[in-house]
Amino acid sequence: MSTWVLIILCGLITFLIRFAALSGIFKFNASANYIKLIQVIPIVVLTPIIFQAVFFISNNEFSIVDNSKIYAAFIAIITAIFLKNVIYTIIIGMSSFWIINEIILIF
Amino acid sequence: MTKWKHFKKGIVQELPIQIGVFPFGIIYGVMAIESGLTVIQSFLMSSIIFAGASQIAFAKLYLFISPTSLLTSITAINLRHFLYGVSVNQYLNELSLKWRIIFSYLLTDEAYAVSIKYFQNNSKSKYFHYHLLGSGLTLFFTWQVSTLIGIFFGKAIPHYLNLEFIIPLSFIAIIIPMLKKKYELLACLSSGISGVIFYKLNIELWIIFSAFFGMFFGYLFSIYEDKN
Repeated sequence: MSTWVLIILCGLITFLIRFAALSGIFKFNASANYIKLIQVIPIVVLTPIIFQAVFFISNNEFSIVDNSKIYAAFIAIITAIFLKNVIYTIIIGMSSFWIINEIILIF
Repeated sequence: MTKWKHFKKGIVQELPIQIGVFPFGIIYGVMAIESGLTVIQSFLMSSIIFAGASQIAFAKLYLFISPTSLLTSITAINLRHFLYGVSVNQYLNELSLKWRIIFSYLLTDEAYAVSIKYFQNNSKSKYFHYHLLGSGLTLFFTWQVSTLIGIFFGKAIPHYLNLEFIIPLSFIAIIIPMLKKKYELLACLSSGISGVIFYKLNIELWIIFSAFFGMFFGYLFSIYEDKN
């Protein structure tokens, strides 16, 4: 299969997966429990992406010790709780990450 | 509120996340060229597929695995978008087919993360869906430009800055204010912990499985709370 065909097929798959849910083909019963489940989707899909990015360092190695991303993520969580602002959370989280990286290098 | 105001809000709220998307696009551009794709293939993939993680997986894998395995991997990586679709469809189910097609193309992680929060608070306004158009097009534009920069100048950006860490930070900023009830917190923690376990076990559908774990435990806890 040529590279172009593969690229186009991957594009089609990506589009169709999104369209399948948005097209309304799948009908769901809008009960209170269903709405409750639907409303946690952003939380349960984005959280694993956060955890993977924070707990796995280069070469996909799980790391807790000397992992500056964990400390920076914790500071970002505190910032998000109190300031509820995306830009501040990113700036404070990223600055903490760089500073903690430097500190870990020194010690 | 006018269409333009919703659209502009989508752009403005999406902009901070672009600081994280930009390096991600550059990384993809560098990887695509290094993997042997041509400049045209690398660039056009960003509009044909328009899904960062899938494009990176494509560039990493296409020389080493069979086309069937590649297509299966891309499907697995993108299955979470089905959940995004289900989630936004509760707000967009009155829209025409034309809008559904447009949003099916623009519904990426970052656009979804920003717009779902907006939909939760503004779905009574008539043109609220223009927010997703604004956030989606902002991401599309950033993605194309950053891919181009990655293709031609990617190696000049210092790797030690780890700018891609901005993406999880922006998701933290979006998720934390959403956690208002105990069952939401439990869903969050259980999906995160199971995500680490499934990812460590090299399970291709790790995001989907961990999302269902999170929903399951969150739901169980909410039933328990209702009974007590």
